[in-house]
Amino acid sequence: MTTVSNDQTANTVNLSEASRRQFLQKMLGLACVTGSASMLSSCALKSADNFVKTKSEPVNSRVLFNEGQMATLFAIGDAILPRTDTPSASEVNCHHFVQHQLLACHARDEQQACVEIVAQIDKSSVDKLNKPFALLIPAQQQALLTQLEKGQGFTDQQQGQFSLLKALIIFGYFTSEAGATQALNYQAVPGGFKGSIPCDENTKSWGSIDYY
Amino acid sequence: MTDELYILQSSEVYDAIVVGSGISGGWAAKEFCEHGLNTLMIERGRVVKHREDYIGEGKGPWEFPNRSKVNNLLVEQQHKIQKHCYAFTDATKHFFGNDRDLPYTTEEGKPFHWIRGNQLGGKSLLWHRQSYRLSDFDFAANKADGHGNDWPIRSKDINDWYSYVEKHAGISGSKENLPQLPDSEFLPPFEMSVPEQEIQKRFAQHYPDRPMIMGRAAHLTKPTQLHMQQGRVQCQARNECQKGCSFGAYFSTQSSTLPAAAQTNNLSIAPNSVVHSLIYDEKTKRVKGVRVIDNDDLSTREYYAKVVFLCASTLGSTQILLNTKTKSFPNGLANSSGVLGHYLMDHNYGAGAGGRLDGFENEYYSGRRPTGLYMPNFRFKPSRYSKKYVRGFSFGASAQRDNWQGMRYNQGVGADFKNKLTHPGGWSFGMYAQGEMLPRYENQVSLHPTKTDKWGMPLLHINCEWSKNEIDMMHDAADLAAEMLTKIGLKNVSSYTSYKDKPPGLAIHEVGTARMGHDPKDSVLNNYNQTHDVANLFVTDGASFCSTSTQNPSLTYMALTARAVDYCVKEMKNQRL
Repeated sequence: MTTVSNDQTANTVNLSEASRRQFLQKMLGLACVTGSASMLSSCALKSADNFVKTKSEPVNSRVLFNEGQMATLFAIGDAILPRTDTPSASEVNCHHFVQHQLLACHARDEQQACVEIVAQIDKSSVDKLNKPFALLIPAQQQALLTQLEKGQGFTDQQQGQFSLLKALIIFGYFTSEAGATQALNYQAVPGGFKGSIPCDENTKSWGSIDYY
Repeated sequence: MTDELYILQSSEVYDAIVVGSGISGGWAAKEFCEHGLNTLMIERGRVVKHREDYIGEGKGPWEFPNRSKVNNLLVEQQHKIQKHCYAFTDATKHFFGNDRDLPYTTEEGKPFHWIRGNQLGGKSLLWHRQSYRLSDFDFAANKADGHGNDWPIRSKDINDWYSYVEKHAGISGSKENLPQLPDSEFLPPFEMSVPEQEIQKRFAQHYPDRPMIMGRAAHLTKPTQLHMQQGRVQCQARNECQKGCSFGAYFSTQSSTLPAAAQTNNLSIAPNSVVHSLIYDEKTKRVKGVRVIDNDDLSTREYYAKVVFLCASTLGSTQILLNTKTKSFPNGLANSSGVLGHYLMDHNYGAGAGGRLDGFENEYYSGRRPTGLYMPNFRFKPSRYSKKYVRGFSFGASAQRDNWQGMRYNQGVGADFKNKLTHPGGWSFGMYAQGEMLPRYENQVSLHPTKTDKWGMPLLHINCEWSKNEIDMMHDAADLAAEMLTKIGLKNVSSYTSYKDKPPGLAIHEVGTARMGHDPKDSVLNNYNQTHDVANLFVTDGASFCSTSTQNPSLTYMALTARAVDYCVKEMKNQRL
């Protein structure tokens, strides 16, 4: 067998303590200004910490999302895939994965579509609820994204853009180690194929699949 | 195996040179070596060592920066063609050719996707491992309906050789006694899921002439002593075969024929050796060896042998013949017939259908089965042809439960949605056609008049397209698949054709261009894959095919090659060669 090397580490950089503090202050600052500390539960703080520590190195050091948009993307991911008994999207760093993957493997029009819809979601939030999307409570975030999926107050094009972004977030989640092995059931070496195994409502899907 | 196998310079006259190390080349080398002949295998690419060079094997998607996808820039610059192959991922890309270094041209408006595997082991590392015998209906098809030339062999000529290679390679499958799809020497078949068994039953009930069977694949479901001697163990059902398999559970050169050949101590391998042309002696009318250009530094060298087997892939072997221009063969060696390069074929995968299957919520499967179900061609003789076109198609098929890959496009956000994504969804069943392509003179390759690659080889110019017959067939396959799935009770059945997006080549079953035949005037090879024109020159890969049949071709490469070596060795021993 080949030795498993962790290629992912090549893709992470350690930000300085100063940048880390800067980020947290920014997030806290936003929260204080609007008077809503609800999003910054201890869990969110931990996620934010994680966010900084494992920040991906974008391809060619280009970035697609500015910091505000990244905060929105962070929140979109967690609204779609919140923490349950398994990690949330942001806890497996989906937001940075999305940026990395768009730059590395997607066409320019798809990159643009994702940037546009992230900005649009935040704008809609401010227009309708007077708050940035990242600072809405989860129920409000999910309601807004549901309206978007149903096309209520959003265009067909925006629905399409969101579908692309959501699919990429979900791809990022279930191909992450925690997504594939905790949220799903991962079999590296199944040992053979069985055509029938018992299955009930608690049976997890296989996280190990043929082609990702 | 040791590094002593590998050579660079040699003035030795080998008993046999085998050009290529894929499925055909591996078999040729093994057979020559086991007959006691001093054999040189020539491979244009690098050495890939069993196990240690399978660098993508066993990794989770999270261990790849792009989660198994290949970087845009790399695709754009080096894999513009290879990216179209379903198996091209970040974990396998090193076994695919570099399109930047391996250019070819195509006729305007007629794309052809030439998938390459230029390394020791060739495409035997990358193949899909489906293994089916041809039947007498296949060998007789050209004669029966007048398209192409008659295969100069029938089942009786090759069946023993099928058995011989099957026992060594290890083919899983079920005995079915079908007239159009002869049984092989089988290891146990992979299991069907319970819904697949149900679908099989319904097909038997509604379409008794269209059985749905388990796909036959070169996987060790239950290894024999012979397989264990090769260092191979049982298939673990990972279905990550194209990354390389350290269990040796699927047949590849590395897992199966190379260890057998090396064990004889009669094998040498010249890697990184791009064969430019054959050395032909006008006086003796025989080939003496090959001219080689070094893959890395472009220096030249020659290797010599008493016989030469071209197993360099369908288009690779033909390119070498075309590029060997001599006084008596100004249009390519062994091309007195003028058909060298013509009758290029592939399979057409451009149609299918799928639907939903109610129930079976308490059924699931474990492991990733490396094969699917298979419906053999039921239009296997002229009396069964459609009125609209000739020949037929088989179907690949499988049932599966939905997972996040499909469900992520459904509406939903939040904990409930996440919960749905993490549990198996409903069952779907799909069928995918694999249609026969007619041998047509117009579908052909030639050498580009001016352009050359970095080794100085004239580029291949490919002029090939689906004809009306293939297109009509795909529409019929789509309609029939939908009709059948509806009849057996599937819901939300929909069908498609995709031949417009899938040009020839992409099935990676390219065959023809140096076909066998009875008549030296309209074929390149005789009934033993020996060129009509040059007695000590053989071509045993896909180039030799007279028709595609509907079956995957690789098992027939193996059988034809082993048979040709046996014939060649006998001829040599009897001083006729």
